[in-house]
Amino acid sequence: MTQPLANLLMRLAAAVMPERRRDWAAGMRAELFTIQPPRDALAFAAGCVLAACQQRISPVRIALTLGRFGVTAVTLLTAGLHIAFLGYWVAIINNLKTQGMNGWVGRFPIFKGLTAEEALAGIGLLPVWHVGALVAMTAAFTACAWLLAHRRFRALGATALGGLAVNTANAVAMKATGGPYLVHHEIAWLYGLAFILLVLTAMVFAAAERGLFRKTATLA
Amino acid sequence: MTRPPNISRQTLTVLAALFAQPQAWRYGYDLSKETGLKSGTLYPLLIRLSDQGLLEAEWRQPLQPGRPPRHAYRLTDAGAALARQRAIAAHDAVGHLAPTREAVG
Repeated sequence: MTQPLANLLMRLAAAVMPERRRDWAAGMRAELFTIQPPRDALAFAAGCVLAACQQRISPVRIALTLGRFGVTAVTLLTAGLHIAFLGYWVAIINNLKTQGMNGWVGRFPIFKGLTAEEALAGIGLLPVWHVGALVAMTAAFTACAWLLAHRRFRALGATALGGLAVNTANAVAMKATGGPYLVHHEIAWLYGLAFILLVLTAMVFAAAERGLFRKTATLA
Repeated sequence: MTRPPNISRQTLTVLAALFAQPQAWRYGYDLSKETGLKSGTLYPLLIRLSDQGLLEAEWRQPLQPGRPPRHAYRLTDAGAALARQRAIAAHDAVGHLAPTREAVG
């Protein structure tokens, strides 16, 4: 019973072993004929399955993939929150235009005592460049998530740098001009940090994958 | 001064076992018994040493008829040089430790 099981495991090891390592799998199998007692053969064969799996699976590659998808998920969540935030304001404007102060927006304390026209005029005081900057940063987060998922690290770095530039310009302009804004200029550093982390992510993953592929090419 | 590459303890054990008889062809199971390493640890090490050009492998005809050829391994010149270098380094390290032990004892 033990010997057939060892043979079966060795066949599994040969099947798992990458094509370029087939000689090694055959070498492992040949060793089975010399191993006594059968229990040792079974342990040897089980180890060979692990060795074959190790050749197939690279822990570094798995860690890189998990890390990349982790950062992608966080970036996508950030983008989603911003899309929801902007969509919320579009819904507010739409509700004011269609239902006036009788809609759900009419119950907002900030619009208390105002007519729909006055509320819309208040929203209209938001600078176009500020709204444009928020839309651009939201688009940048979305693009960063897509680029990261597709391993386009150079484009990711460029997009994150673009987002950082827009955020910096927006923060400086907000501080200089004053006025109604959708976000406070003091949280600009948080956006800046997010974009800087994305630039660093692009650099780290590009370097890590370049090293990994170079190693793989050398081994092949 | 160039820094020697990091080599795990298991790799050093395998290098030392192969370097003990540098010209002899050695087999996987024999190496496993000699080094005490399981096949799941030994073979990835052998494969890596081979990828790095430190180990050569060839098929050897069996001594007993009716058995398949065996995959055999031995160090290349580069592998032997590395094993020798590591053996000297280990010897020197022991030499440095010896007086310290005496001083402590």
